[in-house]
Amino acid sequence: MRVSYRWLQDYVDVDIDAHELAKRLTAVGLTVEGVASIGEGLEGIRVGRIVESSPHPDAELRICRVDVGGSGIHTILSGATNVQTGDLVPVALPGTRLPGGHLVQVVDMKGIRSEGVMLSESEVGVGTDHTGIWILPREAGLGSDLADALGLRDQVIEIEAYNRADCLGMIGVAREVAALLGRSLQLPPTPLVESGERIEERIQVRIDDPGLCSRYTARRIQGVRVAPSVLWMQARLRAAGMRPINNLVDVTNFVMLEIGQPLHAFDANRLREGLIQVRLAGEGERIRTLDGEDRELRPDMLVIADAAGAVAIAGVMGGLETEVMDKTNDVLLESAAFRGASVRRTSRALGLRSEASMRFEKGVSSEGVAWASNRAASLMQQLAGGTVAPGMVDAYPAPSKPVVVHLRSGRVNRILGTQIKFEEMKAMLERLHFDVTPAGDVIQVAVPYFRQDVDSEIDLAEEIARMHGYDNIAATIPGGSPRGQKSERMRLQDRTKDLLVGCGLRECITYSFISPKSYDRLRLPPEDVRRRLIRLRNPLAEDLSVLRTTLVPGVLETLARNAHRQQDDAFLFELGAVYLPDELPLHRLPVEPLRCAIALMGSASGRNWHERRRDADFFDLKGVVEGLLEGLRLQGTFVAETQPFLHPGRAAAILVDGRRLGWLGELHPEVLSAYDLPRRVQVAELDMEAVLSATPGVTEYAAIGRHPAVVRDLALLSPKEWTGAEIAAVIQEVGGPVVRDTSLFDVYEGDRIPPDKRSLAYSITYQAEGRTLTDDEVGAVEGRIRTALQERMQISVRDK
Amino acid sequence: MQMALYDEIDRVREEALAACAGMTTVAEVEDVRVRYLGKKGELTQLLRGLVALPAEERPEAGKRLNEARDAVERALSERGAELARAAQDVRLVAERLDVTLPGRRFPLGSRHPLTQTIDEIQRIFMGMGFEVVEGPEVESDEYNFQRLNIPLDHPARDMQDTFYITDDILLRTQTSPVQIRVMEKRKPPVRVIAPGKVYRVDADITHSPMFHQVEGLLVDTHVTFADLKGTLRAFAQEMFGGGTDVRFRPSYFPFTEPSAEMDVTCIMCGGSGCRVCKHEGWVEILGAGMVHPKALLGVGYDPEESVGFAFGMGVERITMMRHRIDDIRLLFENDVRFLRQF
Repeated sequence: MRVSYRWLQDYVDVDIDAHELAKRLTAVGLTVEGVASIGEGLEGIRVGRIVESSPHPDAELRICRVDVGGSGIHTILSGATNVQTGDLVPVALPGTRLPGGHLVQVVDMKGIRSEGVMLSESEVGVGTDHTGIWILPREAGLGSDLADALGLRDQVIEIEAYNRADCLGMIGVAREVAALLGRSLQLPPTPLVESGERIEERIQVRIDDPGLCSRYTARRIQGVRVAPSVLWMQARLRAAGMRPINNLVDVTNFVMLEIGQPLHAFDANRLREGLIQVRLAGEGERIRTLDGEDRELRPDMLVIADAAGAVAIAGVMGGLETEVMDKTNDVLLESAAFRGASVRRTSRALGLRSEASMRFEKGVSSEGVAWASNRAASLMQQLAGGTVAPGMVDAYPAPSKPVVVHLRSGRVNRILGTQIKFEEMKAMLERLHFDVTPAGDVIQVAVPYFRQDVDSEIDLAEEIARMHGYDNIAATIPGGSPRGQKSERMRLQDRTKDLLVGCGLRECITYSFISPKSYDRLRLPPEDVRRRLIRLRNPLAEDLSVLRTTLVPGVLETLARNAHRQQDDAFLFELGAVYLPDELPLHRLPVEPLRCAIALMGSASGRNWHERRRDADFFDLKGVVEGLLEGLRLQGTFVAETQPFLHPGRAAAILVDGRRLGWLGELHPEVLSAYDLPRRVQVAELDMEAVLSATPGVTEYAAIGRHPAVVRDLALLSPKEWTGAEIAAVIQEVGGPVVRDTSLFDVYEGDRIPPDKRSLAYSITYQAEGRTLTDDEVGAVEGRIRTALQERMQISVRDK
Repeated sequence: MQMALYDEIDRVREEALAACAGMTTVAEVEDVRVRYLGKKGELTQLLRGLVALPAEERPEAGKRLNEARDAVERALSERGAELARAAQDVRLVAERLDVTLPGRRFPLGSRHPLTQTIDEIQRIFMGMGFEVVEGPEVESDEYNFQRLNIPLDHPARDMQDTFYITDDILLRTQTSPVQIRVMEKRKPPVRVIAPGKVYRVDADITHSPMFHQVEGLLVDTHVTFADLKGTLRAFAQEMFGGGTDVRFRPSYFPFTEPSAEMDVTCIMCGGSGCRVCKHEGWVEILGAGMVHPKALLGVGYDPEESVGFAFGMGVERITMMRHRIDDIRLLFENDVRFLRQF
């Protein structure tokens, strides 16, 4: 709501400046978004009158002789065609700087000197119309300063008061200002001179559903003359951000801005007389609205209808056919209270949001309807020369009763942590027009009709808190001694992040919604369960339209974005939820298991002078996963197993105690090219819920052997079909507990050994509990290992 | 005889000392030692010769010989040490590195800046006895709106443009539904914070369709608006520094009343006014308020018995302010050059 500082003075005597007022308003809950000065930079622009006008002999221009008051008559040329002798126009003489920065000078236009310029609305900066010269209203004083004459100099305070429908009107804001400054509020009078035929003779109103329209009033103003509004009215509307149209429409907008009650003026002559019905639209009913659109209505939309059909969409927009036009002389003025939720549904369905619909949505009280009608009728009579028909058609099936709330001052103080005395509370509420009656321990508070946001004790507590001032409430620390803690699941997330960060990975956070095409890029077959996707009904874009069922597309897109920006080295992880529906379409909330994705591209250390650049390979990724599992105290095993998007020979499942925790592998070349990735990418995904359930609690310390260990190397020549895991398992099994560690330190395949073989070299640590192993003992264990490898697996030992 | 022996001792001694003085490398030290003090060394031979002397001459000869040996040993070790030092000096000079060359790096990882902000917020509130809880991101309209006092067709829905999945299921627009879910499961006292992702249909340099909030809730028997102020002020001062001042302004949220917004003195300019705070000296950090009695009733609490306050803050906003990030999209692009800075 744009609050004009000048306009506000009509209702309350404000003796602090606009910026100070803005601070005070913010402090009571009318949050000020900004204070803007308007009508600045108009110095030197004056009101002139065209006394003579003739065509230029050699150009498409008019030569005007313009009287600018004190400085006499000037010759001014213009290309505009809308001016006539006698018109008042804004004039800038040479030496004046226009709001846009242009300096007016004497110019020669095809042989005739132009001693100034006449200006359009947009050049003055008050409107958008730049098609012609701004013809000023008659009462603008010749020669006077334009900004003064039109009341253009003002300050506009932009306020946001989300739940305060009453503050969508100047009077509502003025009430707050009066309360906070301790001043009185002056409401404008609504004098009416009624004459002629009573309105009921011509019009009846019927409300079909009082739930959707609690009150509908109509007044009739005859003999009006449509013309531009007077200057003060135009200035008020402009300050509030609305464009003046004509005196009738301007009055309806003015009163709406003043009191928050939207009004509508019908051309009464174009309305079929008799019954006006407030009813739901018929199936397939149509209306051409003010904006010229032909619209089909839905049966849940409320309309105003005459005998021939809908003439307005209630609270949203009027119909074109009954619009007020220049020749309108008979007006039917609607002032009504439509139900907010209904107006909201209709305006959203039609994509029509207006100042009026916005106010209805927030709530218009049926009690304020009549005053607004009288105020508008009074202004129309005064400004458009009409006569008001006696009476008001007032369909008000169930007049609302004032809301009465019981207030306990002790309770208010208990919630606020204050010691405000009852008398103070009473005074605060009364300043806000609440009617306070003590009744024993409780206080009865009658809520004024315009405060539809107040209907309970807690609402009054808020009124008291803001009038008391939030700054005047102490700041204390609540008692009690609860424990701050995190769940095991959250601690696991923390630990996982710590471990992966320790491995040199950067955490990334990507959107939960991804492109459905991601699943084609990942080469997932149609039946893959990851294709069971939750789709957003209103995504920002198709690329962000489905909830992810895997973190992989997000991290791959991140790698691709980095590579596209010449960042080929990226070691990333993401920890986040995926969204798995148990049925589609969704009837229940999906499960949101936590996943962890790891993706390595390029080199960890980039190019440097210490070593040759080396891109991360499968074993770099496996090392990260092994490190993570070790850090979580899990014993992982890896078995070859591929995914559609992984290299078929470089992929594995991650198992712990036979349970699958996830997978890892090198990205399939087709997926690399689908994501336009320039280097091989290693990627893994772990199901953190499975990790959580596999994670042991606090682990038990294992004694560190005190007796010396013996380390011996064992170089094996193995048929290629045996995996490293199988060989290591045999060594461990046969060696028994004295084999403390088996580490592989060399793998060779190539020319120096037979093509169906590979060489594996292990370093085996032997150590016994409680004693020192002798060479003979170690030799015996090693011998058993050699024999077993030879006999079971045809693996020979390569002796040096 | 005796004189001849003494002359011989002196001669060998002088010769040995001269040899010591003439050594130029560490390797020579051993040679000289062997030549004079070794098993077959000249001084050693002379010592062995003592047994052939008459008993009365032995003490004097022995004394002279021992003195000679000590002198040579001393000279050897002194000169040896000198040479070793010199050799070491030479090696150290030869081993000099260009210390300005880059080091051999262990790769560093990092938590996302948003995670770091959430971690910090959690740490502070855990210190004040808050438990960290979670709730679903895909929510029902009922929990995201209706149970929070925002019925269907309520204008407050405009404050949060919503991603819908069905008529009743949506992406949560706020972490506030976690409040309701926690209160449904527990009896007071409740003291929790709920960090998490939230979603709104909005995308520009200050709005992301996915962003993070931290919600907080404290319900007990004697909780006041003054407690809300004190708790949040303590948070702000720990988060933004002890000198931070806070300001509470009345505001509107459907599920709290009275409601407030908390501003902190601008962390850029300290309150003197700058571009970040739009020359106000204050920046808005969070929304808060006393839990609405309707919300308490809805979860089966008696509003006469239990009072509480709730608050919610935007993690992106705080992160952007702390690190002077001017475009929210940077947080979700995950450019490694950006991530490296945190």
